[in-house]
Amino acid sequence: MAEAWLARAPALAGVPAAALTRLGQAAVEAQYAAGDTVVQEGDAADALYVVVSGRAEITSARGNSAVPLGVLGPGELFGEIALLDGGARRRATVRAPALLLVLRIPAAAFHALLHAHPELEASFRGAADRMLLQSFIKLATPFDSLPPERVRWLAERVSRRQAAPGERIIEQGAAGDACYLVRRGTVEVVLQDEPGGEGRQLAVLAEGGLFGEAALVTDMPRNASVRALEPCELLVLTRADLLGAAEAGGVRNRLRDLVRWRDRPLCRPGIEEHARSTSDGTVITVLKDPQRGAYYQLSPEGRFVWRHLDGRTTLRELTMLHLREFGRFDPQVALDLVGDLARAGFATAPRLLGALDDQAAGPRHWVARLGRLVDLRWTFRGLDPAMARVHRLAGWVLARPVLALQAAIAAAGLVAFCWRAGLSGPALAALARWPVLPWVYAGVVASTLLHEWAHALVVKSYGREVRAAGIGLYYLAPMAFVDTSDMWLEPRSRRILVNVSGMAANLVVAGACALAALAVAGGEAQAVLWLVAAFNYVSVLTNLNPLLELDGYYVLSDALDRPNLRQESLGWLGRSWRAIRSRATVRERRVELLYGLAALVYAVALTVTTVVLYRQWVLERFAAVMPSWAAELAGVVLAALVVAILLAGVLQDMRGRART
Amino acid sequence: MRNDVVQTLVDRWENDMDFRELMRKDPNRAVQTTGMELTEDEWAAIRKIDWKQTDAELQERISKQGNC
Repeated sequence: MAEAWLARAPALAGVPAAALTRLGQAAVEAQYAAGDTVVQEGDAADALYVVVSGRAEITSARGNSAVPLGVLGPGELFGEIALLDGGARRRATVRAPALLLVLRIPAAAFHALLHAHPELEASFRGAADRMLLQSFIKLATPFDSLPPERVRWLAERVSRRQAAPGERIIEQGAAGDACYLVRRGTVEVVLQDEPGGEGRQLAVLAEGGLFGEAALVTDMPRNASVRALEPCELLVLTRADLLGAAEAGGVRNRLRDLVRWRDRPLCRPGIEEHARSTSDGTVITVLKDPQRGAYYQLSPEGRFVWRHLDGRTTLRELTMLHLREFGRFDPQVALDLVGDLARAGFATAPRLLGALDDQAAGPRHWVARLGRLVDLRWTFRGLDPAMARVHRLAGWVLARPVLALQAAIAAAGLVAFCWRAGLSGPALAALARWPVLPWVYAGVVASTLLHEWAHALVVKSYGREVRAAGIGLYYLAPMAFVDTSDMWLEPRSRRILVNVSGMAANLVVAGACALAALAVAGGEAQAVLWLVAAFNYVSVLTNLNPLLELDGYYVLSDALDRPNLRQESLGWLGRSWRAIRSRATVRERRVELLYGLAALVYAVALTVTTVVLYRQWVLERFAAVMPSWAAELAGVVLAALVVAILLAGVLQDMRGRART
Repeated sequence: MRNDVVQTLVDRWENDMDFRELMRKDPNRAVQTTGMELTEDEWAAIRKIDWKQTDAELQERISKQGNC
């Protein structure tokens, strides 16, 4: 029976019948239960095995983990490689994932076969060499996550090349058409800062090292030269080979990571650096891109990394410099920060081809697309010169005596409004009379413009830019806005003053209107003034809400000195909600937890309220022009759309970028 | 930190994703897998964490008059 099984094994197809008979006589059946180890890596080799039934899993140790190299089925053999090497140690471990039946052929019988039929050795060595090549590729970065069939595919495509000591394998500045895996020997990577110069060594790569990949995946010229330090055997992969392997997600991520780690990033030209102190006295740096109106905050460590983005320093070198400066070993700091600076447009990053590029324009996820509808804006840019002129003409409004007068009007008006709150009923009833509503509407628009103008005026009083203004819809409600992002360059107290200036303007307008309403003797004029005052007081209350990105939110964010408070809190909640069970986490992250939960609950409550109101509005109007079932359906569809849009904004923040 | 220690750690970090992940979660255990003997100062450099300030892109400050 053993002979019959051996005759069916493809690897033994060339063995003469008489030799197969002798092997069959020497073979012993062995059975392994699920989880049993058949051969252990590092053990002495004493037999080879032919799989009769079941599967055999091959793995190799790498650090603390076992890297899967392949799975063998019936008719395939293993264990011959170590025997061919004259009794070397096992190069891999073979285990039974389930019941496994094998034929075990002792080493002596195998050696006797090769002695009697030396022509078979070439065939066995060829198969062993293919197996070793596949194992080598599988253990090499970035191919360690390739599935077995893909490893076989790649092993069949690679070619081999020898390199003599001192030979230049890659020339800096040349076009790239292949990358190389070091099978044996060592090479050095050299950067030539000046043409014709000696160059400086960036790295030394030994067995398993990959080089030349950057030019293939970025379509840029070679960014360094590579020279053999000793006789080398190299595996050569073309662009098609590499990109074919990168179709596997794990390889794609690994390749992307490798290209970025080996990059020499450069800060973009024209970026301004501004230093300011935080509430705890730390001096931070705020980067400003005047062209795009973008800002980036850097801690002292971040500034150190930024100052070394000179296009010559690799991230590896940056890690060493960071260690010397801050006494902390953390390669992830430089990698994460440079990646984020590149994503935010402040530094260069290698632009990867096709599917390797994870920075491809625009979020495609439906949540991100809907999330943008939560904050729709029509923006007018280039307004800063006009704002500067207005500040020159009207800056006296911020003089202390004038501010005192405004405060007095606001306070007196508030008292008057509360004292005569009974006027609100008749004022609302007067809305139905002409021309109350148009005048109220004009007052609302004027109040809104004054609110935004107040923000802009205070920004200009600090010498900062007002880059844009406009109108839009925020959570489906109309709004006007002013871009005060330049205030990131100012200390906390000034930022807070800008935030409250809009609401202060509302209070002054409300106070003036309330006092004026009491001065006129009833009628439409009084109703208009009273309703405009009421609108302004309601605006102050709604703008104090810190759970949406209104003035109150920025006050809270600046008071806590937590820029990006909403995104950070909701993002943390979205990623780490399971960690809430830990008391230590709750203590450490109480700000994110409280704000995140409150914002989430508010968004749900707002959604429910809006759905109820919109649906009612739709039913009332549509029912007049279509059958009731159609109006009902329209109401449901609109409700679903409103829910999707409103919650998408929150979900988008909860899916935000991870930040450790 | 000794140069050879740093080089070994950086090499492992660059090429071994499992090691990188372990460094993030449990730096002590990660270094132990290398078999290297570290000095007290070198251990301190591995364990030191600074969470005080973050580097981050600053969101737009859109001061708006809203009614939500």
